[in-house]
This record gives sequence, structure tokens and C-alpha cells, in this order.
Amino acid sequence: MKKLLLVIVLFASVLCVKQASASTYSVNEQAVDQLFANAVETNMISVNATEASSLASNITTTVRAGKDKDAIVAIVLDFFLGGLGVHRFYLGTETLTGIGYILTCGGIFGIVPLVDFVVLIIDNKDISKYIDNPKFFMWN
Amino acid sequence: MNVSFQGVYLFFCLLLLSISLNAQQASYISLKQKSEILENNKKMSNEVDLFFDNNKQIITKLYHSSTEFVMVINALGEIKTYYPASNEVSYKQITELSSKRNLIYYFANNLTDDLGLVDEGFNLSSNTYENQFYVTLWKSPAFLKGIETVKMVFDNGLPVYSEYQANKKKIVKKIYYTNYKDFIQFRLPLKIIEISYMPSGDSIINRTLFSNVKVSASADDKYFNFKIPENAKPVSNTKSQ
Repeated sequence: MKKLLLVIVLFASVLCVKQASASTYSVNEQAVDQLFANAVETNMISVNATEASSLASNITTTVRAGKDKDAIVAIVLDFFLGGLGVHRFYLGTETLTGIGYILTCGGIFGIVPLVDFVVLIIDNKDISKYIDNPKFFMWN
Repeated sequence: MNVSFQGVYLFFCLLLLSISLNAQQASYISLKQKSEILENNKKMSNEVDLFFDNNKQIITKLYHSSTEFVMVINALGEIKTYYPASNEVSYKQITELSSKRNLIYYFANNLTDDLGLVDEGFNLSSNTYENQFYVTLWKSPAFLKGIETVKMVFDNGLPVYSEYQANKKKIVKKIYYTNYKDFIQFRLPLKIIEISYMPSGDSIINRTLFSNVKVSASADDKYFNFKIPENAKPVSNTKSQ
């Protein structure tokens, strides 16, 4: 009897795990339908925005989404708090990069944030290469 | 002699079958595509008639907006947009929007193993099974910033889920491929739901619905061979923006 119970419990747990995996990779379509049904219709979106969706390159869209950082904010943060690497955390980087800035007395005595400051001003129209950049020298 | 005759008969039967199957190749695909985007409880949508010539790898899209226009995209990413009302045309080239990077191209040609990740420079880093799901992990190329890994999940050989991960496995996008429909030569998800997670914490849902899918061995619609009139003028700045 105990063995039978054990088998049932094992079977039920395997079933639960399977269902959990299935739900991880499936979307609640009814909930999505509900969200669209409750939303307010606005004007037609631009053709380019539509093209950047699933039917075009997925990567392009994703990278665009990740580039939502303001160069001006990064420059201002660098100017006032560059020695602590705050602008790097704003742009997205590893914790070690910030520690490196502090341990080297403000990024090798302020030289690194100064170069960061200059390159951010020069590349202010496209700072994507500095976003989520794990390197200590982000311009390198 | 009798056996030999049977052999020849069988050979011709197989030949006919082969010709018949080739004739049914998915050379021309037409469908209706509805795209909806939801952000901050506001939705925007548009509908497009899409015509895919698989031989020439040309996609022609007829947009039904306030200003109707036709967009012709080739494998090189050359995009010609024609506005019939004003007889104007614009040209641009965007490699990422090439017809060979369109999901329709991948599904129509059964290139569903990576759905274009290899073309983007991704490399397969691992593959495992999670119950009935086959899970592949793809490492991004060095030049691609913002994405580190892409996880693709397959069920019965078909992609059902993609997950784009940035630094520290932060999920920036999830894509669900659902409502698969079988055609003779390929299978197509009639509903694709993308959820993009913005750095601000908001998310954008993009839902794409395909309907009225027709597969044919011959072009039965004028848009498969759409020709922009030679006398079309370059588009004015306001439209090209």
C-alpha cells in the first residue's frame, strides 16, 4: 500500500513539474486578449515601428529596446560623480567596474572618467556601445 | 519481361508523384497580417496584405492605412515604397529588414531551427531536453550589445518560445509562437505574441495575427509581380520621414 502511495505521489509530482514547464513556455492568451480588449485605440503606428516587430529582425528590436539611455544624463553624472563610476552604473556595467573606479582613486586619478566624459560628448548621438559595457575602459 | 514492365510502371508512377509534389512547392504565399502593439493601456494596430514570392525571395506588402501604399522588399533589404494615390515612390536599404530576415521566409522554408539567429551571428552554446521541450541556448556575437543569450524552446520540432537575455540573465524579451497551422510544405504559427521589457520597467506587447493564408505553386495575384510605374516621382520629404 505504501509503495502504491509512493508511486502515485511520484507520478503526481512528475506531472506537476511537466505542467510547470509547459506553463513557462506558453502564454496566457486570454489575459493578453483581455489587455488588448481593455486598451484604448490610438492612431496608426509608423510603418518602421511595425517593421521592427516580430516579422523583422528580432535582434534589432531588442537592441533598440536596450538603448533607452540618455547621453545627457550620463554626461552630467560623469561630470559630478564620474570618480565613483556612477555614470557607468547608469549606463549598465559590472559591479567590479565601479569598485575599480574607487580602488584606483576615482578611475586612475580621474583620468578614466575624464576620457568617458569626452567620448560621451563626442558619441552623444549613439551611445549604444557604452550601454551594458562590462569593460573598465568603456571606449576600448 | 513482365517484371521489367512493372518496374518501368513503378518508376513512372514515382516520377509523376515527384512532379506533382514539386508543383505544390510553397512558391507563392499570400496572407493577411494584423499587427497590434499595446503600451501603457493604449493599442495601435494595422493590417497588411502580404505576398511572398519564395522563388525570387521578394515580399510585397499592401498597407491599408489612411494613405494606401505598397512596399516591395527584396533579399538585399532594398525597400521600395509606392504611393498609388500620388504616384510617388521612395527607396531605402535596410539589411535587417531584408525578405530573408522575415519570419515568413524562415517558416515557409522550414528554417525554424534558429529562426535567423545564425544569420545574426549567434552561435549555439547548448541544447538540452526539459520534459517534452527541446531547449537551445544561443550566444550572441561580440559586436551585438545589449543581448547576451537567446533561449529557444521547441515542442514537436516547432519553435514555441524565445527568450532574449541581457546582462546577468535579465530578460528583455519573450516571444510566444502559438496556434500553429499545417500547410502541405510547412507549418506557420498564426499568432505570435512578443513581450518586450523596457528599462523603465514598462512592457510592450506586440501581437501578430496571420489569417487567410494561401499557398500556391503559381502567382494568382497581381501583387506577386507588382511593378512600380516607371513614371512614379520621388516621394516628398513628409512621406519619407
